[in-house]
Amino acid sequence: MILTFLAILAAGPPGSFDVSAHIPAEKLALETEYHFIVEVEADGEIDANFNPRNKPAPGSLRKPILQLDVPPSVQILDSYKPKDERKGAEDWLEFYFKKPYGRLIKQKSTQIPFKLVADPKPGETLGINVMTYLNGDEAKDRRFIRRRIDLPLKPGARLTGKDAQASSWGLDKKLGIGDKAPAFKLPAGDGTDLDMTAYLGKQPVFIQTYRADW
Amino acid sequence: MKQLVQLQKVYDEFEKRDIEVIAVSLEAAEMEQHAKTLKRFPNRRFKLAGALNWEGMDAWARTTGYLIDKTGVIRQVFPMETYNRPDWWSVLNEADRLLGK
Repeated sequence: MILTFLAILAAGPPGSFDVSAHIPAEKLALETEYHFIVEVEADGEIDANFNPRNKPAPGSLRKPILQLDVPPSVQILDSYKPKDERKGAEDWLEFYFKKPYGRLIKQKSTQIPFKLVADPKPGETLGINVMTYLNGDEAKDRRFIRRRIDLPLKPGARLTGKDAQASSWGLDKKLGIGDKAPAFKLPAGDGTDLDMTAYLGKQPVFIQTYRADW
Repeated sequence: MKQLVQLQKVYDEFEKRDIEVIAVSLEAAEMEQHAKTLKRFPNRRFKLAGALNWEGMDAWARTTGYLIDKTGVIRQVFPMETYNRPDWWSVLNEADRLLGK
């Protein structure tokens, strides 16, 4: 029984997931295409095609998302972009690729092509964030999980993810974890203004940005 | 607007935690569009605001949730681009975990 308990502890809670990443290349020359590989291992099912209308299985991970913090010495190659032939998809994918979330991980192992455009500075890393929602047994038992890896830019580098509460979100300098939220003042649409100085620094706030047709 | 309807339903849970909820439209091309949204939620308790074409909101990503503690520091970012909808109970669970109940 003790061994079973220890095994459960070692495996983590049901439905948790681990992320590892590595660079399989034996050398990293400038202006040469290489791949780094991101692997997601989950205790539960990875539901890459999650449809909110379907009831998700407890412990399953819904559409894990990959987001990269790319240092100046690295260029992610265009072939990484997913293909989408739908009308207007080009603009959408351009946004989708550049803005924080990168793309979905559709398989447990995802290869991302990159090249070095300059020699990495000592200690320079490629930031890899994987985030997802973990389905619980009930509607109220869902969690948001994020793992981060700061992969050294060295041939053969290999790392396993860790909890990323303090990770940056620096791909396009959007606000991220640990940043001070800037105050803003916007029209509330009823003739008044919403002044965030009334809330920020005084009480917890949840700000949801949304599209007009959200 | 379905997401705002759902937010209305779980708003009590945010209120219990003393969390102010603010929904900001970043893509309302005209304020009339934003005003139309307001009319659909006459009894709303969460705050709504509209930025005209992202003006002054460049640092904020679209369709994204930001959990901010009472010191004004962002503690979690919820990427909702993929789903086009927030998972309010995940947000509440993270609020409990990071900010305390």
